Amino acid sequence: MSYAYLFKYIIIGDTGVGKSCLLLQFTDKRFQPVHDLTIGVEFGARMINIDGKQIKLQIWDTAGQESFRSITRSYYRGAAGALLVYDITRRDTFNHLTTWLEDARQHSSSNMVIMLIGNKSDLEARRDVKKEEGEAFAREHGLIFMETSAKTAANVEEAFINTAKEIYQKIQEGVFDINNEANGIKLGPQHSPTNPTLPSQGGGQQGGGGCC
Amino acid sequence: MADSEDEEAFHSAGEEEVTPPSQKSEEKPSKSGQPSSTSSGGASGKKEVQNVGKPNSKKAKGKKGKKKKASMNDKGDNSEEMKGEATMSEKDAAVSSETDQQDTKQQPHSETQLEEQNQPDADVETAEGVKSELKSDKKEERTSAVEDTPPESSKKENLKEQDDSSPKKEDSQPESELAEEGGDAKAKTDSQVPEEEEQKPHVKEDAEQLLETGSEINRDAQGASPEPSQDDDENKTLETDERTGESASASSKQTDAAEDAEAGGGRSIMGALSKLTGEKPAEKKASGGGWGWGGWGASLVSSVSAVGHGLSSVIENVETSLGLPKPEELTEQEKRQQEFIVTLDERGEGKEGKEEDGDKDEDKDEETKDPGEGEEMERDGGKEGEEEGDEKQDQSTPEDQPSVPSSMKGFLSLGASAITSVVGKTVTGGLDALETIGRKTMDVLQEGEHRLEGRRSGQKGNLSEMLRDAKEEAETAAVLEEEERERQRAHFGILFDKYQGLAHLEALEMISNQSESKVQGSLSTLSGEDLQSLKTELIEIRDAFQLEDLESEEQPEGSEQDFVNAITEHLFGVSVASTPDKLQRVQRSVHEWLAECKSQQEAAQKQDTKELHIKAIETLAEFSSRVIEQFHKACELMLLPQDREHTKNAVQRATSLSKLTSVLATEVSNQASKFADCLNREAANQEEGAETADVNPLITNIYLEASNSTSYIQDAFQLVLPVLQMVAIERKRDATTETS
Repeated sequence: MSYAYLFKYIIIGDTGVGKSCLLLQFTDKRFQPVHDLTIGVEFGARMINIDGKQIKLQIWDTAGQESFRSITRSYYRGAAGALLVYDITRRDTFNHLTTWLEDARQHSSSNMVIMLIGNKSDLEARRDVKKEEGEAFAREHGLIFMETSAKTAANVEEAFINTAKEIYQKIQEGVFDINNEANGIKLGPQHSPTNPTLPSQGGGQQGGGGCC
Repeated sequence: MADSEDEEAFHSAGEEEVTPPSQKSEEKPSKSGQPSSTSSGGASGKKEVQNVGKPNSKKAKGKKGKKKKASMNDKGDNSEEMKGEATMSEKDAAVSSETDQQDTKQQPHSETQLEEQNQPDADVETAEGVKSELKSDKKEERTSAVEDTPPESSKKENLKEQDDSSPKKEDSQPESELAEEGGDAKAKTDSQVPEEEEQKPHVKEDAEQLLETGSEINRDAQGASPEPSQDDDENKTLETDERTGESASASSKQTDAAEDAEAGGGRSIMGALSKLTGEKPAEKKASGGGWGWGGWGASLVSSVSAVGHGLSSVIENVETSLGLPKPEELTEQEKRQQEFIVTLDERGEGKEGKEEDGDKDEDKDEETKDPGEGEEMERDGGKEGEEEGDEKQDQSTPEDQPSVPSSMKGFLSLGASAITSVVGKTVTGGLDALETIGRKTMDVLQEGEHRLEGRRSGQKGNLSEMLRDAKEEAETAAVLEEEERERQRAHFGILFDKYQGLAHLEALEMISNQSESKVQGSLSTLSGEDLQSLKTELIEIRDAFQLEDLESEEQPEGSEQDFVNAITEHLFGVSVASTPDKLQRVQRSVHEWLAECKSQQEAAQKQDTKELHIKAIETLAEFSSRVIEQFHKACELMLLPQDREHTKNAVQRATSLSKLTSVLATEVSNQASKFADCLNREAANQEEGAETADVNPLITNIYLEASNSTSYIQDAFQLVLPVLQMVAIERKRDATTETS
């Protein structure tokens, strides 16, 4: 399928906060209560539409286990967006946010858009981290904030799409250099800046032919 | 046709005969008071006087004019068309200069015409139009037959009628074409052709003495084409067709005249002129005193060029004229416009039009496009050859005349300059607004329809054609898109990406590069003996890390279980806590599918070769994606800190990995050949010949993608080496720190 841009996302956060479930909900629109531990990194992709532009999100869902930390760090590079996830029912996952954030800032592009996600918002009864705390943390560190539920799908789409919107806006503002792939943004096969009115079939052929 | 109908037509014609001139004379002075209009009123009066001997034909003509008008009014285009006339003259010239091109286009049209003609549910209006025209034709015939007493004049009339009738039919067409997009109206023309032809011989015989006038013109006009009436007609149809969207109907008559002029030179110009004004006597006179007229013609030419100047200045000054004009100017302009309409009306012998110009903005817009385009076309036509260029010159003369001729008689003595100024003003005033509106409309249109853009400037200024082209383009685009989708379904690269093979490869590359740099870093920190020993170890690993390509080829085709055992064993050899679940699942499902396919084929169930091919490519893509994922996972696991506790050394791991890669590569080629067999069986099942030819490229493609897949796997395998080396170095470092 043709797309104008490809954004690389990473999902980071402590183990068991629901990173893989968020991805599964976003890409497959389903919820799996029991999930295998992620080894290293898993992938998901989905096409979204922003301002009439097709954008492919290539999502790297990293393992949250401490032992994979060194490996997953190498995957931060070249991400345009990051979803930093904590579990609202487990304060320790919230407390680790600073470490994650440092890691992310250190190993990725400074322009990377980071979305802070308080997951498992469906478990209101077991809430351990107030929404206000999350908001405050996000404000303090310049992040976008959202509480989601991978189980009920609440805010899941929004979380991914709002991040993409932010990235897209940065592209429009010229903050991101779209020709530098280290920023996590790739131009789609169809996208040709010199000739935007190129008919779609031409672009499609180009995309089809250019892959092997 | 029934006599009663003819009678009716006759009567109606008689009624109309009275109305048009009177109305004209009423309206014109009141609205304009300009010489040109009054003169035309006078002209018609004169006509009456001169044509006493042939009232019927006159009537018929008047009636026809009315008919035409009526049909036009239905669409409400009339006045615009009239107004547009002068502007279109240029375009017309271009159109006829492009006749050659049109002729080729015309062929398919005529086919549709015939079809459409046979359709009973042809547009009501069209049907009516045909009927009325047929009526008039019949009547003419009758008239000429009955009124043989004044033979000359009646014959002449007939001639004129004939000349007039064809353009008139044309006239009514564009409207219906507007609505119908072409076909019906043309069908109409076709239906008329026989009639005309019937009529023609008769007329021609009678008119033989008059050859110097109308018939000559007629012939001249037809001179270029072998088939007189038909061709002429077709040309006209084309011209009208060319203009369909712009509803240039009114000018088709002029185009006709222009054609005549084109072929017949100076005299035919006059003929055309008189035809336009409907003044036979004048024509007679003209033929008699040709030189006097010739002189007049020359002055006309100059006036025309003046008009041309006016046109270009109009186009240049569009913006200024759009700026808010003073009220006086506005009223004056309005007046001028009305005058213009009136003048044009006279030409068309109609009386309506100006009343309607209010609600015709749309049509106006369409029409006003013409000037600009006409110019383009003209320019283009100019390239086509000098001859044509000359023709255009000639054409523009008669076509601009229409506004002149009506006034001509009364003001002949005034000279060309007066006419020029009148015409110039009129044209300028009318065109200013039309031009601007047209441009704006075109802008709007083009904004909405990007496909139409460019085509406008592509000198094919015909809306129906444009739309047809746009439609065809859209259809081909849809087909291409469909093909593209189909192609993508069987595109290895896209499918490989879909199964995340590309992402895994990318991730693998990242950790591989990172390991590589770490290895280099370790080497740079070491020196002396340590460096030597490390280097030796790294080289050992690399040596073990070689693919035995030939060996893998020789391996017998293992069973499914062999494969599972082999990869499990080798993965264990790599000693990673990773089970090849996904790999096994894919492999199993592929073999199940292949077996199913085989059994179905043996049961003579037909399989779609295309689907088989897609399945094959999809399988290869999925399998290689899973292989790369496996490598990726293995690397990630090897890099885990707890991995260092494993006992197996790096060389053993490297050997196992190499063997694993060989097994996987073999599996890929196994699958490929199984799919190829499948396709071959399918081809054999089906008829020999065409099907086999169809299958071969698919099989080739499968093998190609299989090798592609293998190379992806081998690339991934090579990426593992730095990771292995890195792990070995770290282990060694751990060991030294432990001992120390």
